[in-house]
Amino acid sequence: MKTLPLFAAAAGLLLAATPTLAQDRQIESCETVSSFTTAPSRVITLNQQATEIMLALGLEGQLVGTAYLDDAIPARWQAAYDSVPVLAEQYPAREVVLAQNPDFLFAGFNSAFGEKALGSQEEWNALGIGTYLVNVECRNLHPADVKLTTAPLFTDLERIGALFGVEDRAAAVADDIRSRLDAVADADPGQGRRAFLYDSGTETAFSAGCCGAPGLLLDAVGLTNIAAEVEGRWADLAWEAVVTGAPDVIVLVDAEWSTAAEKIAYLKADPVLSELDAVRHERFVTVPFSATVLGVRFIEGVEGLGADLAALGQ
Amino acid sequence: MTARRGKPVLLLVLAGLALLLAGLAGVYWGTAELSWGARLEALLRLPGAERHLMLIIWEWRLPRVLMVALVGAALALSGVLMQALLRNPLADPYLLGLSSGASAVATAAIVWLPAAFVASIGLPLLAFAGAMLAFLVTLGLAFSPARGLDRLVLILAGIAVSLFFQSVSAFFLHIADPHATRAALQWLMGSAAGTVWRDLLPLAVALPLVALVSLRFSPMLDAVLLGDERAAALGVPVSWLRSGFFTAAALLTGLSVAGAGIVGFVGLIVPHMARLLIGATHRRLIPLALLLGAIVLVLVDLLCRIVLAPQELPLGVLLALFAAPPFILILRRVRHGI
Repeated sequence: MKTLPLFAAAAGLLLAATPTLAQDRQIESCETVSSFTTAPSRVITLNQQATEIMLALGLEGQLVGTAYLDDAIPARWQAAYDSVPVLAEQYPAREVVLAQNPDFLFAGFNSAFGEKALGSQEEWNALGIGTYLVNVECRNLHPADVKLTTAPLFTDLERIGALFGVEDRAAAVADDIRSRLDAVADADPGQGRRAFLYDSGTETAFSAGCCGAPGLLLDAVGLTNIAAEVEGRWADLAWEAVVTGAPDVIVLVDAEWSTAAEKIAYLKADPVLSELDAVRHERFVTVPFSATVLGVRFIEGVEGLGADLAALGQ
Repeated sequence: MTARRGKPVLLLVLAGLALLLAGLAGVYWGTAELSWGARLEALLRLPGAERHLMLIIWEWRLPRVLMVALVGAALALSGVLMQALLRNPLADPYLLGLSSGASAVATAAIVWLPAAFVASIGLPLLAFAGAMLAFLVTLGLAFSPARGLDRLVLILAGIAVSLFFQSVSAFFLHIADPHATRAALQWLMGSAAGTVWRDLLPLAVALPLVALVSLRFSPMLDAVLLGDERAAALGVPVSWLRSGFFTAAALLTGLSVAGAGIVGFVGLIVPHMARLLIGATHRRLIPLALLLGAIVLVLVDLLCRIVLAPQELPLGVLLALFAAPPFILILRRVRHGI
């Protein structure tokens, strides 16, 4: 006679407990919230910076697929990276993603959740699949006319760390990045010199705008962006603006699709640009494309640029 | 009668003056904010001028303004020729598939070929080759030994070739890395940025030649407007005239594409503007269309440089904006029968 109420009480407890269990783990991304009962175990990453955050936190065991690299994975993560299948060279088709039966999609550029790629985060959430887009890419949180800081990177580490229950590891990675950023800022290798960041383009110069990660890179080493007044993450500068900007130093973005050597050759061949002080005295510094993306390797770009600037001298 | 004869001359003189002013404005204003005194010194190459300003004006702005003027005039002349030879007021230099051929080859080159290879041959030359390839395919489809060049078949062949090459462009844009497509898109939307003096040579030679020949044959162009049979009865070798001038128009269009990328609407709209002002007689129409085409493109290019300074807009963006109202006007006129 005594067991029945006990059963009822146990059943009631269970019923009450289920919703709290479902709310156990949540992750907020831009305007969406994904909930999990346990840490996701079938994760697909899209774009290099998302993949690298997972690898930096030692979470390759949770990955069932990756896609879309911009350049090479650093040697220290190569073995872990190779243990995970690559789904596509760029964005995989939606069917390919769903066929992996993922429970969490983690992307590094907002184009990943665009109509031409995987579709919106809300659509995936409706299918019961959680999503996260790195914080810096949330256009609602970071408008194009507000200067970026490194805070979004630490938000990502904190949230992903909490979701997978590796808070300590995430905090260690974050502290390491913070102290290294501070060290470069203290050394101030840029010393306020005027810099023109040259990503690509010959008819116009694709360069850093006021408020994106490329601009943040220049700030982090103490350089002054000649296009600091131009709204946006990137800026399509007219060459005349580059000449009147009179840069002291030119920061070249080295990428497979536009190498630093090509850009130097272009600058030297142009009748006007070749007369720029920075070009005549070859005050060029080179950063890899990954340095212009606010991920776990942003700090490597900052340190590399800082060292090159220091070597350049005054 | 003297008043009627005086008006076209006056119009041409005014248009010439306007082109001169537009050209000066194009050289004088630009993306860079420069002081008035410094600009004047640099423009006149006075000894006190700052060297980098002089370089901006003489090495960048002047060739660029001349290039858009040549491209505008060349496309307008091609438009006049095409509209006359096809007796179709909506004919456009790009109708023969030229622009899509150029786009397809340029996109493929940007996306696919090694950058060093493209740089050594030159994108303009590749684009020109693409335009000519598309033109030859169109001609091949439309020409039959028995009937010569049928103008209706030619339009249809042009559409078919355009569609084919558009899908080739779409394919390359789709498979490309997004970083690489930026360069291709900029080119597809037209821009004269990056013009250097030697780029001007092909158009500077071809345009005056074609213009002079067109003027020489202007009575025959007038006759073709009456219909092929009547023109033939008047002694016009219609088939030869058509083949010759199509080739000339294709050459001008191909060189324009090579110079400034794909610049739409000028070839369609400007001949109509000129016709409204001066009438359909080709002896008067051709010079005015040349001048108006140059003026329109010089002004639009100037706007592209200053609207968003220090950023720059491609020509296609503003051209489409300005071309829409006159285009609607033309459509209405066509509907009511010109």
